Amino acid sequence: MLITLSIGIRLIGLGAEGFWYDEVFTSVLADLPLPRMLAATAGDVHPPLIYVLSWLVARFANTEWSLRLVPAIAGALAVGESYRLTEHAAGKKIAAAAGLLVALSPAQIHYSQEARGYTLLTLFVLLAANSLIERRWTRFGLACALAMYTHNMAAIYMITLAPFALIPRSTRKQAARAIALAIACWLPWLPFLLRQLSAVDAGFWIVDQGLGGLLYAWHYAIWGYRQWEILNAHTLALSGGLAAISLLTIKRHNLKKIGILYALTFAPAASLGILSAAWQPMLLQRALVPAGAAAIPLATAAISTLTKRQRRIALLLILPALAGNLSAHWLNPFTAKDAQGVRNLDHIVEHAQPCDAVYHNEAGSYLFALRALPDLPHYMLPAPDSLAVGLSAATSDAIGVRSASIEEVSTAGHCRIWYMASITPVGSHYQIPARDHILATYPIAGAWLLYDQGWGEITLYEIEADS
Amino acid sequence: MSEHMAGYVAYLEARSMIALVCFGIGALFVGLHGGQDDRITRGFEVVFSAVYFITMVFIAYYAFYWY
Repeated sequence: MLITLSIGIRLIGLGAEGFWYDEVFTSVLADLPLPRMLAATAGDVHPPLIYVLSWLVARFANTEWSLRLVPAIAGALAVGESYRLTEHAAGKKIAAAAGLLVALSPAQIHYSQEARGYTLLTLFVLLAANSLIERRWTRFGLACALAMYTHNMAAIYMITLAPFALIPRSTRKQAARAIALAIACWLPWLPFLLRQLSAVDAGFWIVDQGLGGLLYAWHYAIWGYRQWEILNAHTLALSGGLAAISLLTIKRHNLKKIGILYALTFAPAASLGILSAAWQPMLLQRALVPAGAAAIPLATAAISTLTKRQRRIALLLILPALAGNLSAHWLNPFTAKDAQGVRNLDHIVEHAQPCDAVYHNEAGSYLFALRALPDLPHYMLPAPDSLAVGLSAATSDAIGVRSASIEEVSTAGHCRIWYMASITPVGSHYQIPARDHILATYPIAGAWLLYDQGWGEITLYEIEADS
Repeated sequence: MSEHMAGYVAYLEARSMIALVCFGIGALFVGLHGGQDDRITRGFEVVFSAVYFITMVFIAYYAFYWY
């Protein structure tokens, strides 16, 4: 019943919005031959499972709706796993309320409608936790391996679950065997992971955000990306309140039963904080989506221990915010899709001739254009081989990104060059000089400011190539 | 650091500060409440609610300009 409701909610408007950058990356990879798709994945920062599933789906249809179907189903199944986990920890009544709240969580719905692997990760993490509690060790090992094949950040959840598996003496041997099984299944990916870690070590796009950023990420795992701005401060305070209630009521629970919910709620965020402090900024907000699926049941269990009057106050504060943010999910456009979506290419679609070419400043507009304008040749400004600014050289090669200087493109015999001059915060140091050089060197027949957010902008220029 | 990157970092810093303040307000309220009815008076609730409402509106008003 809960899973049916969840899948129903997740199917509403599933394919209505265009892709944003991460999703268009999935879509472009899904169109490649399998060996090139795997090479493109290995050159990036993620393991291959979601790309393999998307590749299989794309054999039938490579659309917004079809590529988001696997995350939607995974998101609905994760609600069922969240229910089971809460039932183990706090009983059926609280599990029903928590399951409903996870089903309605704006963050869970958002990622269930994104063609990426975050709900799949949530599903496998919760499945692993339930398998651990139920002492189903083979399933535990396989769920851990699948989580690790879904996202490298699954490691922070595996580290969280490992003590629960290995500390009890009675089951330590079986747990150790299950972990060995997980490691054995995952071992083929290890060489690629080491290469990915080395590339991340050389530079990554995530910026240091301090403790506030960590709290913000944890908060987003519950309330989602598309909040109405007017509710943002309130939901942040609610997140602070829910974290405090969960911690203050810890003595009222049977920790043996509910300890795993506490761990999955707080330990992954703490791990990200430690990792960021010890190595380099690694605060990937969406990596905490599984933690959000544990935080909601934990807060529900905590609120259930309050007095009737306190519960009423809590619900009075929470329910309007939840309703507001749920409405935001479908009514408040996701700004990243606005900024990077294919609508920016509308002008080229309308006016381009077959002999035109499109020149891109960065991978985002390049990948969008590959899908929206497959008949035109696309070129990209040569970028540093660094994950700090975009795609690695290995991924670019596997996708077939044509890297060329404007001089090479302008002498290649095209009638006009449509120049998508995107400026991103992380790439502005090489994008702005390139743009200024192009504007100073070539006659511009037209210019359209498509997007301007202060720290990011996109301007489309029409360049007469022959002159 | 380029102007765009500096703008982005400033945005993230402002967002982190808002998160700290708002998260802190929520946690403080619950902390002062102590999870027990007798630790808190109606008077405190009224004062806190008023401060809370004004703070949230103030922050939300400025949040419009950041997004």
